[in-house]
Amino acid sequence: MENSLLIAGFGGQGIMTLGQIIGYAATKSHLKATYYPSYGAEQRGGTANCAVVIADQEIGSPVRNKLNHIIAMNEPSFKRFEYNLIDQGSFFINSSLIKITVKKEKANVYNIAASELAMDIANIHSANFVMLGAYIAATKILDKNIVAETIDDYFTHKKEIAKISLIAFDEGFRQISKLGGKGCHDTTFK
Amino acid sequence: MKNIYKKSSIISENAFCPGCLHGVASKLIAEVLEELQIHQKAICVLPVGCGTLNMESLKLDRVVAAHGRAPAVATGLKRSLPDNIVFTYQGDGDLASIGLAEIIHAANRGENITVIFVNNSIYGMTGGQLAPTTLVQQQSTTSKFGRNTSTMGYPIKMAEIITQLESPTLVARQSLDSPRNIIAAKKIIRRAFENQMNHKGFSFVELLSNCPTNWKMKPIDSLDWMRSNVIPYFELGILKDVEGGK
Amino acid sequence: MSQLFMKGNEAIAESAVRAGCEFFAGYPITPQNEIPEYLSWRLDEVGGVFVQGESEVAAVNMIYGASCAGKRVMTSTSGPGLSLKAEGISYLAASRLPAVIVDVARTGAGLGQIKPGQNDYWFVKSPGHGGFKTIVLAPHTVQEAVDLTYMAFDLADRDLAPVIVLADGVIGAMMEAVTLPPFKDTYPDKTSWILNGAENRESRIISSVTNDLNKLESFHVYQKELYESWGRKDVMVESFMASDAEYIIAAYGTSARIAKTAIRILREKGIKIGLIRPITIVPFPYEAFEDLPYNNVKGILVTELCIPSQMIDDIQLGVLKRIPVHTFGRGGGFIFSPEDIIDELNKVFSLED
Repeated sequence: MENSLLIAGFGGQGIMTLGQIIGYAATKSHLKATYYPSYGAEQRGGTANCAVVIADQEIGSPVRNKLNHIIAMNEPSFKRFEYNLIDQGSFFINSSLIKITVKKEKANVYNIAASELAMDIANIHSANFVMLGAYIAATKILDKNIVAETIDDYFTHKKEIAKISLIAFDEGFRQISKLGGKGCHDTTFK
Repeated sequence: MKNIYKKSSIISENAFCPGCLHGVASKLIAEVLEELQIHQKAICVLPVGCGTLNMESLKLDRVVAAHGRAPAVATGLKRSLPDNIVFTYQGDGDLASIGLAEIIHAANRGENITVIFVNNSIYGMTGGQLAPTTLVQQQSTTSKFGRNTSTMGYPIKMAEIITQLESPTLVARQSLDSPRNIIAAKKIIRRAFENQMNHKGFSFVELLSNCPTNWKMKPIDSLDWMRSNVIPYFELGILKDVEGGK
Repeated sequence: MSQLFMKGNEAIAESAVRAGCEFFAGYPITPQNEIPEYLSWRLDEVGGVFVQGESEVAAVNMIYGASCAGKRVMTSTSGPGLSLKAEGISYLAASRLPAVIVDVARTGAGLGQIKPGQNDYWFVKSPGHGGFKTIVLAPHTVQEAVDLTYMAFDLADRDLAPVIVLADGVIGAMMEAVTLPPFKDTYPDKTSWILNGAENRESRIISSVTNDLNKLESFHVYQKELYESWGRKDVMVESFMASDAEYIIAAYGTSARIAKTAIRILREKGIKIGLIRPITIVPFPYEAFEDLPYNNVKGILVTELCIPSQMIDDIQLGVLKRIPVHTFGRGGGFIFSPEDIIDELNKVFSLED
């Protein structure tokens, strides 16, 4: 098993936090993981993306251009990476901010109104955790409880944020069960 | 017969040109270290330039730094060995030109070290080139018609610059041209080492010196030239003395 | 042993602490900033000293001073800063002072870009004036960065010489699981040469300059013998799926781990391809290339995160034109993917035809 994930969005959307939490949770699950944040001389609030690879054997490249999964938090990121998804791969799309239709064929698409759902829970800053819940629920790549524990650990000194993040994480799971655990794109496996 | 003078035991032969006052600076340091009974704890950081010649004459633990970097090397030593006495011995090319950043920042951090700055207004070891401290109109091998301020600027007053910083606790300038000034110089060198022993922080002593060889003068004439040209520009005295309330 | 998911730069810093590093001086430069940031509080915690220098020049001279005092010392930087540290590294080598220098390499000459690159290979082969070498260790995972940093302190103390750890922006910035080594509690005795005041002993001098030319030449002969001894005992190289390989990728650091993925993909298709990965850049594993089964191996592709290829000089010395050697790289801070390597292999060797 070797799975490559790209998480992309604006700076400030918690992209890097999400990538790191998946890495921590994978390590806790005795899997191999790499997390690589794309860094550069970018301004605050610019684009942000990170690559996460999870595997059950030694990981070679921490950066891939053929991705199993993409979590896209905003439109520019989605457009930039859309065609890096492999056939039968999955998009997790923040449909609150991404209004364009997916052109890539043979793709699973999970539309999650993460920003809106997060605002209903507490504030927009937990949108990333709604997406994380949806991602874990749909892919089952990691155990739900281990990820929840990891979120709790990550915010050890910020109990309020931990609480909100876990509620948002659960909301992501609920969204996937509402979708019957399936992606919802017309062009899926055409 | 009464013994009125004893050569310091931690200095061997003079390594400098005849008539050069570097030898006096080294001798004063050696005497002070011995009188304060700290010579067995002292580590001398030597520069690149004529001051390097102390590597042959001072019987202390010593290290030769890269050109200008003595204050950085001294920082590493003193932070590692806070109970030892660490001092730099630097010339004007080393300290005021290539090592300007290192001396300013060591001073600004308030490193608990002693800096002895021997200013003879010229690059001696490399053969008499223009130094940052060369006087206006003074000739050198790279300013054949004298220091021209429109292209070479003015001689840098290091002691005054160091005085502007908050951290240093003792900043002074003395001259080695006369017995009277040499006695005053020894007194301030002693204060600078006592400061370090008492953990008072950064001390800076600038000593005006000569270079008969590259000034192309007889030693005696070089002393006259110091009095009529060097000392009037680089004023003597204690510029900053936190302990003494200045 | 429990595994920690750690950022490369922080893992390097923690490894240094565990190796007994007592003094670190550095200067901010991307992509290595987490090393000084981490050590600024961590060394304080364990009773060590951290100083942020006014420049890379000052920082390397601060570790020079602390090394004179017998401390285990380290500095870290990236390409442009390594240029400035070159002076100090030369003095460390000439004065026979142990020190560890970490270069988290980025791309391009001059300021280039802060993005990852493997552009300092040529430079670290002899990082300063006057003709000297340092051992250069090049990790390709965060775990290896930890292990090699830990080892670097021992090598530096063994030879009384600076040692370079050559990472790159990917290794520095990425996170990966590591097992940290234990805290060292025994160190080599340095009392015979350090400076700590001439009390009840003769005074000492540590210097890169001497007026005794015979002594200086003896030191030059010693350097030659030291470098030759490295070639005999310190070479480290990984051979990955290379024993039956018809095609070889030669790569170190991050480009080597990317190559491993490409090799796994191609092996699944039945293509006999492997990797030879120098772990020590100095001493270089020439024998791994000299001793290739040339009746079986058809060609080599050198992959690096830089253009032009720099390691090709050493590969050619090992291969001596017996088989074709091609190069593939990305410059500008771009990272090639395993698929990019496969495409290039297909182009030069027609592998999948």
